Amino acid sequence: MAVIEFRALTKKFGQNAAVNNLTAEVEQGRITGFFGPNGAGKSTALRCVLGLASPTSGEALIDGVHYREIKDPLRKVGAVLDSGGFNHGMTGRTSLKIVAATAGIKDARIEEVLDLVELTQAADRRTKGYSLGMKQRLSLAVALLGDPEIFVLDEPSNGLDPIGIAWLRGFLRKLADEGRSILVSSHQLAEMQHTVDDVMIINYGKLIAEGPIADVAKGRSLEEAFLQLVMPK
Amino acid sequence: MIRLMKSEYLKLLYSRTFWGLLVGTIGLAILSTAPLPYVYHDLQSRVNFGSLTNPDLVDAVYSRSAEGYIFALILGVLVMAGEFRHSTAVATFLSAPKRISVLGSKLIVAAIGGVFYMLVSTGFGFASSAIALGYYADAADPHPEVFINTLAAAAMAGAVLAILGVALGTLIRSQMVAVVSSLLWLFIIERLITLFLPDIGKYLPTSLIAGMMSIKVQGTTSTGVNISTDYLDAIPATFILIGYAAAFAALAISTSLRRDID
Ligand SMILES: Nc1ncnc2c1ncn2[C@@H]1O[C@H](COP(=O)(O)OP(=O)(O)OP(=O)(O)O)[C@@H](O)[C@H]1O
Ligand SMILES: [Mg+2]
Repeated sequence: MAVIEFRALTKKFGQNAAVNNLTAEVEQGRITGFFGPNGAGKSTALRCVLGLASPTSGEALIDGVHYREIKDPLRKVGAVLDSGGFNHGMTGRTSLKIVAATAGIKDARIEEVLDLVELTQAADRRTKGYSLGMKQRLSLAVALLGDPEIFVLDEPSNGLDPIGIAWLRGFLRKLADEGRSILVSSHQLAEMQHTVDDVMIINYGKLIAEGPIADVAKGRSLEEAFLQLVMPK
Repeated sequence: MIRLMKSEYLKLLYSRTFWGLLVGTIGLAILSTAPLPYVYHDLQSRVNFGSLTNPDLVDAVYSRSAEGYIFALILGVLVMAGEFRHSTAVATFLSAPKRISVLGSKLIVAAIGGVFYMLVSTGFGFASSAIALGYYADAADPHPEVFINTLAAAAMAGAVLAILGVALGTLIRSQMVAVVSSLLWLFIIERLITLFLPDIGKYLPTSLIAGMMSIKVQGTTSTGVNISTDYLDAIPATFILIGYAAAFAALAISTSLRRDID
């Protein structure tokens, strides 16, 4: 069953189509890697899924509906975006509290997610002083707050140290094994090769490969397959 | 909506700017009142101005306690524009994708915040008035209704200006541009228009605010000094101001709020 669907999704900025007629599906209970060169349109496509950007044409659906129609979105979808920020004057815990309030999430859950992303120690410091990886962990904590069944993650490993990356890999696997579905973009192909079940590759906004990783890689490493698809001789 | 309002309330409670602006509001209320007894006393000795033995003039001192309303406007602007400045808008609209509900809760919470600013600062203004008047032994006692009237005007101004601010901050997403341009407009452009074209001027926000501040919930005594006839009455002025806020909010909903969130 498809939990996320792109239906002829097109998003133009002026004349330039950042996402160009993208049709693809993300299957339930699987980790789908979303790959493409810089500027390929990954973040734009994900922002359309999350209702932050309006498609020029086509649509992006979650469980058959638009994100904006989901009743309690935090409990359905957890998201990490490259553009999200935190109020630098507030602590990590306060930032979580503010988001949790919108979904009526209990304080105990805030402690749980802080623990999950290993940020408990820094939770009472202002986010101004957070390192890149700590901010990324806080973003992950926000995504986890509502214990959602679907995750949309834009370069979640950005800024994480090797321990964090290994932790994230295991963590995503665990979530998928629980039946949750994950759409995750990344540039770290070697790393993602061992994490994802399915892949979606786009270039210049257009889908150029889709399917289970074995079918797309065809015996090559993910990186080799990617390079040959994106830069054919 | 209740949850969203709680979230907005927490955003204010934990933001340092909110408390900074409160201090500013209080400061302005004190600065607007404390020097007045001296000024009036000094005027009286030089020109025939009336003296502090006149309770109307004493009322005029106390009624200036509600002078900090500009900070309610700034608060309103920050409530929305601040989200874009800190790029917390992404998290906000992910947790509440119906943008109009976000705007609605911000309008309500900002209005409450604006009322809070004004009631607290007006209280400080009363205190500073009382202390400053205390230096003049012959100063009259104020009419008791000046307190309730001033508090009512302060609360009204706080709510309406905060609402106006949220609408402005939604329309102009840049916090700096929104604050600076509304100050320029209120304190320079509008004053010039009012000076040269008073018939138009009285329908502009500053004059409406001045009109609104003259609201009387008790008694009909005039404050004794220059409540100019150039201003509309409190009730129509308040409604026109709310009309401005509604127009800005409608414009914001149809333009700014439709746009993509970065
Ligand atoms: N708000 C915007 N206004 C104008 N152009 C934009 C905007 N956002 C994205 N673009 C353009 O759309 C294209 C796709 O950008 P996008 O951020 O989606 O790429 P990406 O695949 O996420 O890249 P990266 O791997 O570097 O994160 C780029 O050409 C970018 O310049
Ligand atoms: Mg991107």
